[in-house]
Amino acid sequence: MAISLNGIKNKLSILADAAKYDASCSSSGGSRKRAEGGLGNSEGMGICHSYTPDGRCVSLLKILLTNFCIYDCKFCVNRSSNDIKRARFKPEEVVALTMELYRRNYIEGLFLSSGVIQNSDYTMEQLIKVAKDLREVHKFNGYIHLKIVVGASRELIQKAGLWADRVSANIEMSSQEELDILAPGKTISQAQNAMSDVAEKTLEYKEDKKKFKSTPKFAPAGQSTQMVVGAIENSDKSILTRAENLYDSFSLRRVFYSAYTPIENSYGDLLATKTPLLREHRLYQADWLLRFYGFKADELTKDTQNLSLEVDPKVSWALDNRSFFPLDINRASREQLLRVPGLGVRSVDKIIKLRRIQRLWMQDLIRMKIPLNKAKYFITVHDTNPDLSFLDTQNFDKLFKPKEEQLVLI
Amino acid sequence: MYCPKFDQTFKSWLEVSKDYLAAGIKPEEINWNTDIPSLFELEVPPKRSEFKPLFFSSEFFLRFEKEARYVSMIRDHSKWGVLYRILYRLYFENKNLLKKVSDPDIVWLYRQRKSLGRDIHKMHAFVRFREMQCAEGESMYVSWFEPEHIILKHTADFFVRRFGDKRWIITTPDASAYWDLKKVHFSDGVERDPFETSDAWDDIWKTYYSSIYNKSRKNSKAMMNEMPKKFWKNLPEADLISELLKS
Repeated sequence: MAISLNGIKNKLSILADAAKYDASCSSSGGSRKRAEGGLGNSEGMGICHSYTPDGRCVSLLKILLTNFCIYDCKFCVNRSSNDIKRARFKPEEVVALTMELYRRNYIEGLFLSSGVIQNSDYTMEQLIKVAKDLREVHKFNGYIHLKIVVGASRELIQKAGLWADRVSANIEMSSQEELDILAPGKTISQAQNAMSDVAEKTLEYKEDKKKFKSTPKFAPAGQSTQMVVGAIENSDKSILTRAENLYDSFSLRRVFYSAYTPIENSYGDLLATKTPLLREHRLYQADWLLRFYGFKADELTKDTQNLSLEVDPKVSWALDNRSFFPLDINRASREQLLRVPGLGVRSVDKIIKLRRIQRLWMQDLIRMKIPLNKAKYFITVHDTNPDLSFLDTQNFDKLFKPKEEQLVLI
Repeated sequence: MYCPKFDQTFKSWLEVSKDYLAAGIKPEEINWNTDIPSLFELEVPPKRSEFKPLFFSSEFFLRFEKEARYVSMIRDHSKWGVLYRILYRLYFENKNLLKKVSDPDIVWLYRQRKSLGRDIHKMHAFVRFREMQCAEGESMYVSWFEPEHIILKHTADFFVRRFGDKRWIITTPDASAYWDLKKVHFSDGVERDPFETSDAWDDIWKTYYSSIYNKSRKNSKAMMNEMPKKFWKNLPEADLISELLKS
């Protein structure tokens, strides 16, 4: 393959830079065995091969096929009216980048997205071509995440999942009103249609698989989406409610949240201030509570539009529901224990495992290295727990509030 | 004090340990540190009459064997003594010892397992191959890595599964692995990176690394947690970090 490394390098600097606003870098959930004479194998847990100084994991080669775009979404750096350098990869350049970097163990695979050129179908076809070449011509069985171009035909969307491990259609905002202001021409329902096409085909695959073992895989790592946070006034309540709805309706693996940062030549409609990364962090914490801890979105934002920035959403819920506590470590159900601030899924499972063979004393929790700095206020153990006495005191909340300076840091 | 003769492998440790256990020898009566020969090397006394050899095929023992085999990869000579103590307690004290996750020996066991899991994961992540032309005009991919624990044999198969279509070599201070397209050959370790070769794609990678960095989200603490400095010397992109943090 005659490919100029310098040419690739120039395009890469533009098209990786343009791709970095997509938060997802997950490479989990793939399951492909290396083909005879081929390169690459994916098995469940993804790997972060590096970390950039923003603390983010670098797992996939995350690039756009092109940053030319017919849309003019105001929050997006690649919008058609923005005066930036544009570039477009040839499919074989993306293939070479993926193969060569994978070969050197730099990446788990490729996350390919694109600005929309000509129309959604044309763009989707270009992305599919790269993935198909990698799989069929180059016998590449590393991880591939393909962006679903919202508005592409059902047929193409379902084709993408044949070559990709994961697909994602970005919903961008939590409501149509926000989209109307920031992303003219885009609709929530179009994005949801794309997710629905994927969900439907996934079900179909599972049914066929039962009958025919040879049924080709369909997006084995599922689908995800992303919402931009804080480009315009939008509440955490509406974001989390939308996320919960997407998880329930389309069996999404992940919803990603991307804190908006003002980019050059921003529009007047947009908030000029940077969204605190802490807000994004709180949304991820709340998202985790939805997926693994049995919480509902309306419990987390019951009397409020936004999550507390001061304390994490689990502490916040516990402070509002003090009568739920204390819980007896030796008797409470798993569901109940998952609501104790500071106790994660692993800690709870460790506790449950040990209490099958003995009563748990405070000393057991300490020896098991269960993080107790928050949990100790909410639990009873077989012996006495002196910290429990704080639960009914007036200034209980204050124990969890950060000292003033700590807030800005994250 | 007993001073078992064994070759520092799990297999030989286990054989010796079975004999000692059958003789009812207490953990504190054994010096596993073969570097310090004891003045009183004693033979293993005859097996105790109440010892039941069936124990070695019980699920309690097999579960222990599996855990111990894994944990024996840690780079810490005190491991043999602790593992023997766990084995001894498993037989004489409590068959369910491994489930007592708050017991100090079991806390130790699981902490080592976690440390190993992390080291193996980081090796999968941070081994970097460079292309080298072989005599036959075929490419070979070479690397140098310094794992915290003794895990090359354990991890080699991971690299075969991914990169089995080309020849590769991974060298470490403990041992080296060479994949010849059919089989992994292990040989002695080397003290430092033996390959004086650079790879043109490292530069492409650096371009990618600096372009994907989002400077408005600077958070070097999170980076350092996951990619501590000890790994930097084998990562080409690490040269860029201080410059990127300044921008």
